[in-house]
Amino acid sequence: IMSIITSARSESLGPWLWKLEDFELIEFFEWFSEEQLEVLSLVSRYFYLLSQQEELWKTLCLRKTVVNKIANFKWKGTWRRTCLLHSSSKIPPFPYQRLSWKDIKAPRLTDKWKRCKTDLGQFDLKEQTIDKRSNLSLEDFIEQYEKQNKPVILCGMMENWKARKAWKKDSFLQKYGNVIFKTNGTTEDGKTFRMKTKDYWEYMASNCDDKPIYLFDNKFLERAPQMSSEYHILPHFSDDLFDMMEREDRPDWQWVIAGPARSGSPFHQDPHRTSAWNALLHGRKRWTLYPPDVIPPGVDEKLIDTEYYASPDVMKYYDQVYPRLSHYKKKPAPLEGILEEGEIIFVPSGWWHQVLNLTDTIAVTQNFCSPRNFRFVFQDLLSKKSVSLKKDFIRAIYPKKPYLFESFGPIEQCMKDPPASSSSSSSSSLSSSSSSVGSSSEEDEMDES
Amino acid sequence: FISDIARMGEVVNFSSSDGRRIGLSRGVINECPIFKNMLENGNLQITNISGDILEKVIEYCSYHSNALKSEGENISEEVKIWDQEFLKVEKSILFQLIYAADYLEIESLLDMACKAVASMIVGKNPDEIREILNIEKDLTAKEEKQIKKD
Repeated sequence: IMSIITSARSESLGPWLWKLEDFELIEFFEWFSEEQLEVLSLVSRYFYLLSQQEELWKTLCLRKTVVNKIANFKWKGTWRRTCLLHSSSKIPPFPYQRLSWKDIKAPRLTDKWKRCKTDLGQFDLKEQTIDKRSNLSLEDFIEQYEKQNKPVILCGMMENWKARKAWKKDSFLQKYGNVIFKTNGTTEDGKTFRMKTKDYWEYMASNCDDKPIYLFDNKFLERAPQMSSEYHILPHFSDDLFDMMEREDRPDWQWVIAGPARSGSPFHQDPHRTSAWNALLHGRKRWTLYPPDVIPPGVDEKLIDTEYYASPDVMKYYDQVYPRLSHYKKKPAPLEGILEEGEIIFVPSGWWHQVLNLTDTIAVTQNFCSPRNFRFVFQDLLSKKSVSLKKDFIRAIYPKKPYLFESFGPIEQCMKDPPASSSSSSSSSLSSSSSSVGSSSEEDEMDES
Repeated sequence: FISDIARMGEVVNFSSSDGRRIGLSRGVINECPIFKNMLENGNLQITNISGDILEKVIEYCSYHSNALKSEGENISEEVKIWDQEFLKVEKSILFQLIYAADYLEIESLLDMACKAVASMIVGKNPDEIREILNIEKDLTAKEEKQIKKD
């Protein structure tokens, strides 16, 4: 039966192309324009499947709809249709039926499509192992969680936030529909683009990407200043030593995040070993956490120093790694929990975390350095090749709180540049200058703008 | 021992899939990590690339490693023209170059060869494309209609 299946593919591709693998064929198809792809879709069955690949159409679409780093596409259900119908008055037939043939098995081409149709209901958790606490006092939080570097979900602490009403999917659109926020989406040159909330909401409502784009803006208070009155930083998280630095010197620390089901963030640790809190205003998020000294299964240890995400995409993780967790005998089970609306999760310093949005979600998040995690943060700053952040940090904080630095030896030593190492290339994006490094408790991007 | 020869700048003889002995110079071996690895493991048998294609690949690698060293004014123009001429070959050779470049992980050659094949297809209608690529039509008329509608 395998030979029948492979011969259907090889017949459909012809003697010249069948030897190439699917991902190579997709790369080959990247050479073609919209018009050419349309022609190719009529050549043969396999050509049809290849020419329908959303990643091709996403590239083509973004190429023509991102102007001055703002994406102005009007979402029409798939990248292909959005691309073809851009600046066209054609009314598209809907729903869109994809042709398929029983004897043509093309997992690489159909997996992603299948993943986007996967119902996320199966991702609900029967057992949650992250503590949920209501009305946790500042003292109890510090003693039971922050000092222990232990995660917790705080309930009932957002009741007086205006955002509880104002940042629901519909109200957010009404209030901020015309605001242009940054997204994590990138064009071919790797630069992120922004989108008007109105346009993004259309995409969010009916996209079928297996790695959806999400809003992710570290300057949201500049774009919509009234947002600052709609949420509060809890006393539990207010003691942020980075507040003592000049605004342009401190690393990014606050984001608004909005994304559909299936969007999320693969395993990572937040930059500079800061701690983070993530407050959910709309939807449900599934969190998976590993302590700082446990590298999560699926994370490629060789990539940790150079890649921010050294692990498979979230959906791929649940597809391939999660069902086999028992095979990783040396690794403890992760902490898992579902963050609901009105709840805030505390992700302590250095904890690996992965997030999967189970529904459309809207959240606000901040990273911080408190006296409790100071030693982890400063240790991280000392270990990096790039020294400007470390020096600014010392200059801002040492004069007022020298006791924090005691265990690190003479401050003059700390201020020195690290010894020159033999490797000349500093490939880690984390060693770029302080103000351009993005950090967050949940999703991340290295942003140049 | 074999690596010593390579370091001394001499030529190392590999065997192609059709049993020919092809000499690779140090410059070429350095261009291509696969050759380098094979050399380090003492394996000189290339099982999936024929002698003819191997020679073409070596030609490409030699030219490009020399071009990198020279500092002519119009060197990139010259290289472009050379590349274009290099790819003016029969279809079957072109495709075999794609497989070879893919296997040997020579990105630039793979890119170029794919682009050349792509340009063979651009502007042609489905029938013509099928002819060029020797593909038999497997879409039904009904399916064609459906595709055109979407």
